[in-house]
Amino acid sequence: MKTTAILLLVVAFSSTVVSAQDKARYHAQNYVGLLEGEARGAFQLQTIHGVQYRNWYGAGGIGLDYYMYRSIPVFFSLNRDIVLNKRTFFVSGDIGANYPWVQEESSMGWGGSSKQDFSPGLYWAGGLGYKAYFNNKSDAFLINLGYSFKHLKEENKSEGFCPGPPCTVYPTIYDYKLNRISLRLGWQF
Amino acid sequence: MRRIYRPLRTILTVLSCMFLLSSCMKDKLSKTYTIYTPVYKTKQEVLASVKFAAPQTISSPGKIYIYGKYIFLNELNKGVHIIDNSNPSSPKVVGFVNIPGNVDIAVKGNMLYADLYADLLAIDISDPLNTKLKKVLPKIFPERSYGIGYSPDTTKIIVDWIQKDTTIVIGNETGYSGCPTCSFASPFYSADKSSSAAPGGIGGSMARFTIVNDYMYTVGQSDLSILSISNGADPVVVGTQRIGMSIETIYPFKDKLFIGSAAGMFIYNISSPSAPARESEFSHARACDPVISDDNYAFVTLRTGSWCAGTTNTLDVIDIANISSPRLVKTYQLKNPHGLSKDGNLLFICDGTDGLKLYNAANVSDLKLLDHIKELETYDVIAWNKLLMVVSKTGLHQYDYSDGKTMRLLSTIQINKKL
Repeated sequence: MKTTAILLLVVAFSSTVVSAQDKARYHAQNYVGLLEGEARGAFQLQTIHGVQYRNWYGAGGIGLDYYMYRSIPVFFSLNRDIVLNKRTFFVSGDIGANYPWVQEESSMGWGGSSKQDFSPGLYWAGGLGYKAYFNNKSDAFLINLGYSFKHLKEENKSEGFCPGPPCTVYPTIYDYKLNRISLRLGWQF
Repeated sequence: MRRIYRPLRTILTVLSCMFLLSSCMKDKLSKTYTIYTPVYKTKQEVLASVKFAAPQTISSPGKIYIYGKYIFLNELNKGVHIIDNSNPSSPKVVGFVNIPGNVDIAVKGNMLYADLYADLLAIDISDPLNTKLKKVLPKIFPERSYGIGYSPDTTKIIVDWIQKDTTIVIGNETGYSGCPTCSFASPFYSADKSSSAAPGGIGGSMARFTIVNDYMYTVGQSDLSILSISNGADPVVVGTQRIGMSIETIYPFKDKLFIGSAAGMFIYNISSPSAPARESEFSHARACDPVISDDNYAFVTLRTGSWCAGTTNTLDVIDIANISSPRLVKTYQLKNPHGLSKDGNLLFICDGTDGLKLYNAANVSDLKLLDHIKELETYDVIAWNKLLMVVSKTGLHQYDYSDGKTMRLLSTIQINKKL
């Protein structure tokens, strides 16, 4: 909820800047990408909406992250453009929360049952990118390579054969701190 | 075109970098769980300790049984609390019978029958404050084995568990394996509540033991066992029947046994008490299903939960006037119903986290909610002689329902309260 509130503030701030500053412009960045780490590689999708003011781009984003367990990162994103030899590079940083979107499983078998519960955790990412502007000087092709971290917690509750309460529950907590290399290709408009 | 080409070349470069760098990325996965180490005693030591002892704190109340002025309350896997209920407004825990692995109890006359893991004990309670172990029937409940890891031999019994929380770093694996706690033993079975409208005592609707005249019937996960208790101190197994899978509860009414399973309700005829015969069954969605009955209707609560699969949380009223062909009269939606009890036209339902509900069941097609106690998470209930006994997550509660409309709290024995 805190992240959602931050996101709303960013959008509100963006609207204000757009109206108050001639040089501030709304931009959207839509990415598809890959996440590579110790676990199997996975896809990611992100859509980021915010305001470009001079060399800064501040925005709120939401995405889909399929690394190990599917999750929805909701984050604030800040980019700083760096122009070298008329080429535009940028440094990006994202921070927010990562909400699991997992088909939580429960099983009941001979002699017991088991149930899975996921809870959200921190999401952050940082990277270096390149913007290839098109002729209109506004739309651009984006490429970004960096690091991405997501944290998830899973609680497995198992119990023996228990047709009536109170049932003895045996919880096992799994803590996932996932470190990935992130490659994103995107389109800014 | 050049502007497109250059990024493409860059893409190939960064892809190469990415795959090279990814080998440096290590996920940090940890697993926190409790290691349970069993505490053993010899069987002789345990059986010698099955006797009246000083009162103990109630911490995990299970099945309940009323006998005379006493309430027998199971302490999950530990034993039985003896409560003097001469004054329901001020019940007193007067003692404890130490029975490791105990989850079920039933009473006939002066004999308390209780399970000790796989064994059945007959305990003389003619003087409840001076109980005496009379007989041990071994391996009556073979499914009461230990879980993964520990399986004590026949000379030892696990009387307790030493718990230690542990966190370990694990490899890159996902947690859900269907056996997340394989590294420790878990006693298969947990407690519920007790029942039987039999001479000598009254139980709840979630029982797995019941007594009808000179016979005691017990259900395991798939079996119905028949024991002759004509000599109460010397119960004898006279038969065992395989009756289905995931059997949960047993409830007697006249010459019938109503058996609740995860898939339906079975009705057995016990006109020949040593050889119950299945008369009919009523199938329902997969769920846990305590059942009670009167002359004309069976009342079945269906609930979901971690062990109870499915998505159904209802009360089914079933017409059993034609016992060979039970017919659903009406289904009522509830939140997470557990035990239930009926006294005349009053129907009491423990609706899990939604508390305790009292209905007027004069017209089963149109139950009327009369009273609702919301603040309790209730498991089972016994309505007897205008006195309601309710087991909840927080303790044992007694209510007066003599006005036929409301439930008035008389007393509560809180769990984990120092005696």
